[in-house]
Amino acid sequence: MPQEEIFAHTLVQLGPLAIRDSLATTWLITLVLWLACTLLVRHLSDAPGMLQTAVEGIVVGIEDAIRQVLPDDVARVLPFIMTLWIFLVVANLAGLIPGLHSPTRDPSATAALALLVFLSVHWFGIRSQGLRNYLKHYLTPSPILLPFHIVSEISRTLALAVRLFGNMMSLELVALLLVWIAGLLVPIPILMLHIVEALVQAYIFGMLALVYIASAIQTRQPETAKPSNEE
Amino acid sequence: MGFDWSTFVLEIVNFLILVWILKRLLYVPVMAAIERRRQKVAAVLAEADAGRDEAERLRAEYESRREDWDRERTAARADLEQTLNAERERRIADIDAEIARRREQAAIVDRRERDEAQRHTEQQALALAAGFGARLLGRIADPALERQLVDLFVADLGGLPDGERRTFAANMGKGGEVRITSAWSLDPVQRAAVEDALADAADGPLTFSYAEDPELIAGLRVDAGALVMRANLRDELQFFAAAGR
Repeated sequence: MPQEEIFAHTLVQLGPLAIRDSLATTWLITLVLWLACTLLVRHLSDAPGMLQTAVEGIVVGIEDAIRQVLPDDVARVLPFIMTLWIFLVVANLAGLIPGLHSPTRDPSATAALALLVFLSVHWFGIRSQGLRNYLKHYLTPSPILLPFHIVSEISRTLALAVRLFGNMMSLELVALLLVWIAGLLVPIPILMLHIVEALVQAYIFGMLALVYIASAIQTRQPETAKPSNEE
Repeated sequence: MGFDWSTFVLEIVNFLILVWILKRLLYVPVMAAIERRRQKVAAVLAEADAGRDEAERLRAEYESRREDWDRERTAARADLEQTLNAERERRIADIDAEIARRREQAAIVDRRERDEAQRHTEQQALALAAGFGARLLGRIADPALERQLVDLFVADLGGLPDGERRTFAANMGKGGEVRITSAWSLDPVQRAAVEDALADAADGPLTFSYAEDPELIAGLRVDAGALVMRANLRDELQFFAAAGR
């Protein structure tokens, strides 16, 4: 079983930049989503067809999920969380297409997503409460807890990256092993499990990101609710 | 399998680009389409509400008009009943007055007929009495009765008041012709007494002629121009019978 089939590998080396297959797949996914959205927007109508209804259902469903957690900051958080969910679903399922592999089996990709979540948590927290109030919550209820807060921030970000990478990596590995050992028909149930696991992992990653962002926004919510000009 | 910084950085950039793409091409247009449709639905619902409100208003107006019509109808019916009652009472009063008038007329007619019948009966009684008296007097009449009646005539003529006497003289005139009819033949003495009394009443000479008429039963009748003096039983009975008419 060649290692290129299992792990991400470099396709092209452009000086210091190494273009891996995971990055190429990410670009392909981005291109497909851009084309799909462009075509969809051109055909939006007031009497929606099945495709438009499905897309509207996805968008409204994501919006409702965010609204249940952050009822006052839906418009602010929605683009990031929605992009995260849609990208992860497509990226996780991309491994089912022959010749493609999930970009999320590359730790560099999952680490990038985890870092984005880490930064977005602080970004939304600072925008919501102001820098001083946001940083103050690291010292509450006691400044002694500051190291624990910092460790918690780093560990959960790492956990995000590793969890997604480990699960998708293992799924791809199991699928490849089964195809390699048992042929084409036996892996079908495992592929079904792949679909479920891909959706579950996308949901977990996005929901955890949403919960982290919500916790950052709502940390000082009672105090920051009235002075909105602090932002 | 190792970590690659270029992939890490490019993945971050790619994801940020994807956030921008999906926000611009998916989230905003789709939410705008949903909002447009929601506004259309809201407009349709508002229109339906307006239509329902208009229908409610029309229904209330119809109910109000119907109540007004009911009130007007009730008032008109009351007026009509009042008018009918007044008209009925007026007609009843007219009929009562007409009945009273006709009853009075009937009473008058009845009274008149009764009076007429009574008068007729009286006349019949008087006629019968006159006829009976004439037959009875006709049986008892004789020259002696004739003489008494002539004497009575002469006495009455002589006892006339001055006014009647002047009237009698004016009607007789000077030398007027006087016709004396008697039931029985007058003897010369009686004739002379009668002629003297008449001449004395006429205050002048008169011309006399005599005739007999048994229908007079007893007594005489004097025709002097337009003046007729009756001193006989038949004329008296006729006076008696005519007195009841």
